[in-house]
Amino acid sequence: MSCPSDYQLDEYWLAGRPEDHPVHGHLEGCETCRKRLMEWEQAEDKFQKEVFPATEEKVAGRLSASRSGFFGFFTYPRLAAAAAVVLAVVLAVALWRPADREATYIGVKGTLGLEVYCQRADRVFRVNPGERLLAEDRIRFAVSAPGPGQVMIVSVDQQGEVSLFYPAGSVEGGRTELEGSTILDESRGPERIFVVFSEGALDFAAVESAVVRGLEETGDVVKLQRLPLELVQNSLLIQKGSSGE
Amino acid sequence: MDRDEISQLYRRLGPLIYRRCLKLLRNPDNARDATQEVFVRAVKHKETLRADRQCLPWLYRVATNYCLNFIRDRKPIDDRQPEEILKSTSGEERLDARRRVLAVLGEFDSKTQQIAVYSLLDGMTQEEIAEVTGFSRKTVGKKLKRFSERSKELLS
Repeated sequence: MSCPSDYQLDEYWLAGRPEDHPVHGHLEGCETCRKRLMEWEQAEDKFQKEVFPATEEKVAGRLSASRSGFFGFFTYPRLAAAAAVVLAVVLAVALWRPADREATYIGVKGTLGLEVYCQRADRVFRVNPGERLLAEDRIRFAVSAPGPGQVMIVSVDQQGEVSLFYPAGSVEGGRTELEGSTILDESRGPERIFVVFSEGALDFAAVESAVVRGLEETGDVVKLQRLPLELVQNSLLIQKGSSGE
Repeated sequence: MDRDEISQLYRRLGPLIYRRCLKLLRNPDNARDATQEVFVRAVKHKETLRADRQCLPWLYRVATNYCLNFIRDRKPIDDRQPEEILKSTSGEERLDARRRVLAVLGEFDSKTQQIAVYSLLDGMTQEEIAEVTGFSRKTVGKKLKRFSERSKELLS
């Protein structure tokens, strides 16, 4: 093989430098790359001796504090049961609303459901269309897919900035709580979250391109309720900003 | 994931993040601060993070984003020239590419900036960039081509 990139060296290092890795064979015959790898050894040494002792407590403290609650909400049976009751009530209310409201709930529009949940401090709530969310709010998703396939979740703000919230991931049909969560940044204004579904592979570049085209056509994320894509999809509009706005 | 697991994960992934941040920021103190911030962000946004090959694209993306924002938002804390800051042991032949990246980076959107850094600073292949960024290889190729053409115009 030709000299590996840094990325390949990282991969090799992370795997524990196994002898059957292609990079290992290359290193035996390439002095230049052996010297390059010294940079990895120095970084490892420096991190373990200096950086880790100086930062570990702070890092673990921040993550331990932030991780309790939101995911436990989905884990603990009693809270999950409570969530199911709340979900049923919210769904019933949603279905009783007038037909011209923006459709974003399971079964209301098409066959792809999108639920957005938000954790703010100790509170977890389901996000309604147009609801105002704040910087540092943590959101996560549940989707109801029409069958086995892939889902992807992206968002676009009024400035046309596209964010990938959930990369193409496989789901079975029915409701799936997606792994991972996203912490909202400090940008303000309307932002629309799209979920798309495909029985085949999803390509972020194609979805992103459709978002850009759609926004060019409508000029407004509020109006952009559907992407110009022949995919099963759904969306939810949120407002980002401070609670006082 | 409890506190012990977080610490173990940090010990495993920290060196990789630190080396990445040090390479981009060229300052040990900034790299140390960046390492903890990148790790916290990476774990917060991806609850299933594990120390295996699957986490690499994600870590690259978070670290590169963070460091590029850091470079954009702050002036270098030392008075070295950009060429010196970026000069590394990787060989003179790549120095021109680095100079070119640094000189014109601010003229491009954030996604093109990242792709240019991965290609010209890291020497990553288009397939690797596609894996890290989530773009198709075709899109990476197009953006690199556009970057190359536009940067030539800007520098001429």
